[in-house]
Amino acid sequence: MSIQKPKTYDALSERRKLITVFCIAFLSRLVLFAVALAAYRLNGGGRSLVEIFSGDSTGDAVHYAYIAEHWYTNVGEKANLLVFYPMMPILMAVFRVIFRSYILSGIVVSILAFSVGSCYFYKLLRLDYDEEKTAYGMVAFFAAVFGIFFISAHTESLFVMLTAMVLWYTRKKNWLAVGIIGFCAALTKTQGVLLFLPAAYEIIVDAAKEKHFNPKTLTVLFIPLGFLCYLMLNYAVSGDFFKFVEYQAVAPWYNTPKWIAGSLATSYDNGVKYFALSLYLYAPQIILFFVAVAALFVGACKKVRTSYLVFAGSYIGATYLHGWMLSGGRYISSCLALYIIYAAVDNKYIKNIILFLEAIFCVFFMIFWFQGQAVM
Amino acid sequence: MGQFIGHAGGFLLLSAVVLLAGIFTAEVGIVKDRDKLRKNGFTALYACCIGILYYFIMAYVKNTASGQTNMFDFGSVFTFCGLDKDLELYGDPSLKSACLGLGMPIFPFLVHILGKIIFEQYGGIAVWLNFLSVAVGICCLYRMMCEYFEREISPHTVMVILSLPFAFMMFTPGSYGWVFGLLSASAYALYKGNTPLWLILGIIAALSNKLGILFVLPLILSKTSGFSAFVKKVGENKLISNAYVRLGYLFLMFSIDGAILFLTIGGVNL
Repeated sequence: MSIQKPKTYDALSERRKLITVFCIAFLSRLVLFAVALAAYRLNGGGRSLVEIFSGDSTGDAVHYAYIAEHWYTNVGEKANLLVFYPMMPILMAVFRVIFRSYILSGIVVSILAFSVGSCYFYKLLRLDYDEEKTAYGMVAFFAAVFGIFFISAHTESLFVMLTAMVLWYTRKKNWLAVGIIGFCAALTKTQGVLLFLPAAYEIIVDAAKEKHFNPKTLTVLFIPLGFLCYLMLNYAVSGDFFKFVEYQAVAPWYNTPKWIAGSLATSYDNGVKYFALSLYLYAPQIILFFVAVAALFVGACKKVRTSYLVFAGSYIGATYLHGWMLSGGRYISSCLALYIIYAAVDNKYIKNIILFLEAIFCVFFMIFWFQGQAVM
Repeated sequence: MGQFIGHAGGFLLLSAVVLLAGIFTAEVGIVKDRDKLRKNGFTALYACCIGILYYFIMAYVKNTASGQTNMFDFGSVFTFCGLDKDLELYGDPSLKSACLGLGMPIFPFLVHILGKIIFEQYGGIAVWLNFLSVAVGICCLYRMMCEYFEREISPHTVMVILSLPFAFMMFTPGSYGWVFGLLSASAYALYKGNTPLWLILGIIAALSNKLGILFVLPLILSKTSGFSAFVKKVGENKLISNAYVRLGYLFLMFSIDGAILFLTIGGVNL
């Protein structure tokens, strides 16, 4: 006769694991940060931390800080900041009450979101994979090539946290949570609205299997509603629902929708033309595109949950519909579904090689970023 | 090279999307037999690979012949095939001239509308529509043959069609690939006894390209006494069917040769 373990033991053990994951995630950011900073200093880098994190080379971080401080405006040169989504600036403004600095608040939000997101990601992986595969998936996520953006005041950490949560609650069929968190994701980043697809996919497949439609699932419509709110914000600020499209099309972004083939061709041609920038911008975004698409096929072969693949496919497609893309590598690094596919791979030799390359480039890009190179 | 990387990326991502669509049909129960789905998927992919092979050959031959260093300038191939006029018309601001300029309205209409929505990529849309249509058409023919001969035949048998001389035209921005897919799908619909679908697809084919009128051929042949029995007899004869496949590979060589000659000599307007 087997002795059943008390439920509290499992719950306690699970909680301990999650706390461990949280601590490891948190420490991983600090360790990476320390390694990159040490390498930067040893290499003669002299900029102070304040300069590094709030200088113009930090890209969008200063823009988020500006929005957090002044909100959006319709006049002057800052009017084009309407292209940035509001969720991150709102959180920066909230945390600023404690930390007294917008950039520092952004960094704290990023690291906390990354750590919380890691816990959800861990739980998500454990639904389908054993401890070993889960550990691989987690380490690959920690060593993301453009991991620097999981530390700085960008939307990446927040987005991966919300993605992990939406996917988790989708699996748990908690549709209200999916809707609310997805709503926040749609207000965080353009790709946020795409979280509607994996949720809708699961709903359709469930409805087809059970031959019954659950009306509670309609709460997932909050996700596209989030994007509608962003359009309304555009209207409230500028009087035009699509003002952000206009701003994106001109300097300094020059971003107009372009078919993937054209977008990749432009990246390649720019890489040849501005060879010095290839290392930081164009080569990574071209290579990571092909790696990500190859991962979709691998995922299909390894029977990774289709809703994850749908999310990854739509995410890659939407990301590369840019006329003049500069941050493809950063965006791909935030595609959580790709780390799930990585976890699903059985061949440890290949996994280790990928992990090694990923870690090397992660540290490199962090150092380059510290140096103020065009890592965007 | 940039163009090549771009097209390869676009093709791979769209292939992944099609693959996911296939998995979706199986998961929601539209397709019951996963094995059949897998075979159809590979058949479609196989057809697309042949199309891509043609592009490489055409681009290589054309660009080498004209002394151009960029081996992957696929756009120049269209001009060389005499399809530059079509491309111009697809993108014509006036929908009327886009549709009527090419004789049959449906294909230019589709390309014009989709091209307008999807980043003004008229040539690219036309090529993608043809690839998609050929892939679907090949799958329909493959299924029809499997069902007709009551055994799982090799996709090579059907793929021979794509090796016929000038079959490469089906992958260019003209409407040949589009009409091929529609004709195959309409024939399959007729075979399955779905006469309304056969008629609808057939009429669309006839309004897309003059060759589309051939949609009536399966109906005539099915009414012709002895034809069906003859086909079955031929199909069941291993010697003949093997010879047919081998002949197909011979045709593939002819077709490649034809493409090379056609592009090298140039000036031939299909």
